[in-house]
Amino acid sequence: MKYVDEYRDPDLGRALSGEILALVEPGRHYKFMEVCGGHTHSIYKYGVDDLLPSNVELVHGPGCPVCVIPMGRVDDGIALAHEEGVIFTCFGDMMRVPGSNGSLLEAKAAGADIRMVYSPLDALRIAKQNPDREVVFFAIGFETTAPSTALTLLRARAENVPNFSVMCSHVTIVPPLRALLESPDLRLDGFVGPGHVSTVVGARPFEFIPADYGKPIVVAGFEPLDILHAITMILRQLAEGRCEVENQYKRVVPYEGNQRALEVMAEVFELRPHFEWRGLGFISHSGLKLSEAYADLDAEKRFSVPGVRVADPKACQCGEVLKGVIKPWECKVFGTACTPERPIGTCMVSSEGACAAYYNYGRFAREREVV
Amino acid sequence: MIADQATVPSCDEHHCITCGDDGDPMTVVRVDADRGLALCADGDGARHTIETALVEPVSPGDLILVHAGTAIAALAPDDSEAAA
Repeated sequence: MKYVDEYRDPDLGRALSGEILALVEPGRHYKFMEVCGGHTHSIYKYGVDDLLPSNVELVHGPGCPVCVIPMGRVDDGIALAHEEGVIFTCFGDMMRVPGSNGSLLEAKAAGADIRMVYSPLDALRIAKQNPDREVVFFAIGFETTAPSTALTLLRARAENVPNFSVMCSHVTIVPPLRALLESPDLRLDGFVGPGHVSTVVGARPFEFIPADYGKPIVVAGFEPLDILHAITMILRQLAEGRCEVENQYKRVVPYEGNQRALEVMAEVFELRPHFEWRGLGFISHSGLKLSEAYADLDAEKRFSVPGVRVADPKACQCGEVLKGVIKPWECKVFGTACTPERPIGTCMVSSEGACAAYYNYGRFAREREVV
Repeated sequence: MIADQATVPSCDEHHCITCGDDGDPMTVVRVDADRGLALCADGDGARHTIETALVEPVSPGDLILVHAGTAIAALAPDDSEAAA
């Protein structure tokens, strides 16, 4: 298949692997973070890490929106789902995220009307089909997903669908990256930047990473050769003493992003002063809520939501995993008490979560073979 | 009651659409310009109703990159499979 074959070509992969080997300085340890859960998934699905020299380490970032939803937020969703007459809609993986007293899936099993949707547009359609019910959409995701929610809210307003509302838990990518870069327990040499988030926001918002922190970032696609190519580009920057934002995914990502998407987001959303991230704590201006103009479509205003903060389970080390401080298998409950079937922590829920990616692709080994 | 979590569908069998920062290439089949929607076919031929406001105008035969029911980018014809 054209392009797929080219971006998975073993010979090209070996050539890039050789180029990487030639670019690394012996004796220097390189630590790069792939921000996006999609990259984490590709790296373990295709064994990209096995093509890297032992002194090039990939750590997994916070770019999985399911993984960063705190327990209290899940509890809020479950409380909404139990409201009289409510149909609660959400993306599939969100249903398995544990709250303090079970998941949305368990709430569904207990009788709440919770339905999986593939898009907010599907949730709006359910609202139109059920005019005597209140339909709430649990909106999660980074800037890739937020425009979809924004457009659906514009549509709900234009088509006058009064029984539709949104529980907004959208997050933004830049504040957690800044928080990670400020973290004293994490030393990084560069970033593999998120691909489709950048389709919306562009590559420009990442300019603070080289400017303020002196680290290179390369926005990358999701095929194995995309990731290897991005790592090569980061290493070349380091070898040449450069430090820039580069765009490996030019075939999809415009440097300035999608202006229409940014406009609709600005119209529908505004930044929350603080938003809690699982394992990372509260991060200023990192979450979105509905703007005043759309407050009537805000489920948290239409219904009573507990809004109680719940501490993460003590055994769970999702926070350290999300910050790349420990590898998933270094968590005490990885693969034992915490598995994809019975997750304790959110990183084990979505297949893009670092723990699930390790678990599903059999990455239990503590030692890695050297290429 | 405890549900059997192993049987729950993920967003699809491979990945979560939000966490995967996912983008699916689709071909526009029919356009409803008044409503800002298009009927689109994915790589398996399955039809989906897609929001097209971010990439308008679109025409039948165009290739778009879709995330959560919304087209987030227009693709040049040769980019469709590479973007997946």
